[in-house]
Amino acid sequence: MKRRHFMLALGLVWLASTFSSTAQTPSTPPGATQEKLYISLESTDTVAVVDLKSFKHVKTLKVGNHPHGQASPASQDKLYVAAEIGGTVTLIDTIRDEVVKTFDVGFGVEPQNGAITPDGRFLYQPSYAGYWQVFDTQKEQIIEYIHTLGIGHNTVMAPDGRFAYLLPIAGGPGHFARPSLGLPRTQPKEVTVVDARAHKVVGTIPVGTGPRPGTISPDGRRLYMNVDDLLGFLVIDTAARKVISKATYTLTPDEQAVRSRSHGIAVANNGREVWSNDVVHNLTFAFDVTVDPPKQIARFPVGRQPYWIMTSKDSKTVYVNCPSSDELIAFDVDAKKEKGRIQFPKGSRPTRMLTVAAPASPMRTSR
Amino acid sequence: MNRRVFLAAWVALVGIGRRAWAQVAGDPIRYAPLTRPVSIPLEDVTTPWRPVAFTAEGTAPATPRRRVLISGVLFRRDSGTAAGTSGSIEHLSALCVTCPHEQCQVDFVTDESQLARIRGGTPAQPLFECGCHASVFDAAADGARIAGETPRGLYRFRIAGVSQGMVEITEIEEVALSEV
Repeated sequence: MKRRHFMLALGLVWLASTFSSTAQTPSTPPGATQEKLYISLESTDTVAVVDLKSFKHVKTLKVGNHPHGQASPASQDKLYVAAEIGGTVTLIDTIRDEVVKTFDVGFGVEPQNGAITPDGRFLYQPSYAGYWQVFDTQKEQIIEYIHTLGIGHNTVMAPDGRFAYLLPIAGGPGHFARPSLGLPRTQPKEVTVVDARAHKVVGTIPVGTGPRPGTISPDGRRLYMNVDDLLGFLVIDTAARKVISKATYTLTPDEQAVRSRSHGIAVANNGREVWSNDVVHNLTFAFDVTVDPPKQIARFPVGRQPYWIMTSKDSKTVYVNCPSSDELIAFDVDAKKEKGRIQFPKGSRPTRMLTVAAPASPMRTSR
Repeated sequence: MNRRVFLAAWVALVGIGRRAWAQVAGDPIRYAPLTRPVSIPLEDVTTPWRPVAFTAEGTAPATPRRRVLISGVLFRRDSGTAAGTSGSIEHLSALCVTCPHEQCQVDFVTDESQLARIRGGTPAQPLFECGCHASVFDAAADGARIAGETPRGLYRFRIAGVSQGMVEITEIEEVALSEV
């Protein structure tokens, strides 16, 4: 009898504790995430944290001098921010939005925009001086150098983490005048493909001109890329490693009389659309990429000189930033309408950005 | 004559020769005519550092010839003679606002806090700053390069003169027609 009472009491305690823990965290079920956008405010050496539910600038984190690169692994609980003048990479805890530590391990001249393997182990960190460094985030050291020449700048990681695509800028007299150590004055007009497990070059994709920002389809089969001297973007078949098509913006005669550049590109609407900026004409374009060549389906006047594009995790919202007018603009992909705008402090120069679905509570993940 | 004196004499001679040649050869910048002159009332630029924006049209020399629209600003660098209404163009600058680095449009910065940020706290005269890569140009020195990735200063227009109260801008640096 006593034993029965004891078992009953134990059961009640268990039920109470279960109820209690559920009641304490009704808003954070397992797997809950908070979607945020991290955007470098280059001239203030900070990263702004934008809560995407409210579309409000909620926090500012001090990082290295001139932040110009961001990467986050699949776990989304970390963000690596490269500082081009500081020569460092800062690790941010995206759950608490706190700086954890800064790595100063010789990232070379002006670290730029890297990408990280989905497991978070290897950060492919480009240097302006024409090479990429593979930074082992567990050993906290650079374990490999990959030379592309040109100017190490943009990196695209395949969704499955198998390949890293290295996109060096070809550059010109202005870039070469930059106070970088012995810049090789070569102008590679190709993407370098690296096996992201072995960290070895396995191929190149000739693109005929200097690579600019790129992005990849959710299935990893298409790489979309801005390049020099094309108002639009290239479509690359990643399996064949060749350019298969190109998209060009439709412009008015007056717009055609003003030279511009394409800079900033993102895949939206579950891989069916690509959005891309036209810098000098202050425009952003949307293309249907289910057809070949891609078909222009919308164009939007934006802020002054749009430079980067990022999408929400469901790819139904596109974020365009304009460093010249210190603005971040949100577009509804389905409605093809602007739905919000954030004005950052004048002169703060918002540049690189990344959306992160940060776990709502601390997780045990590999570094 | 020892070796050191001999070398110094040669260095001095080369320097004098180069300066003399530059004077004989004149301005090395080549200008090309605009499709039509740009006319701006002189009274619009009587106040220093208050730019007037304009768009000029030219033709790129490349084949096929391409129509080019060039954004520019006309401004007075300082008060000059007779509060700038005498017809003198000495204190006027007409500059293309396209950055020679990567064709972004530069901003004319007069705000003191912005100038302090750009020049690291040093008080400065107005500047042009590129919103894309932060190249900086000296407004007081006809758009000369101060800092950044730009390989040179801003492209310059040539002001032909003042006629009937209008500032006449007739030419642009030839190289700008290919780069802008």
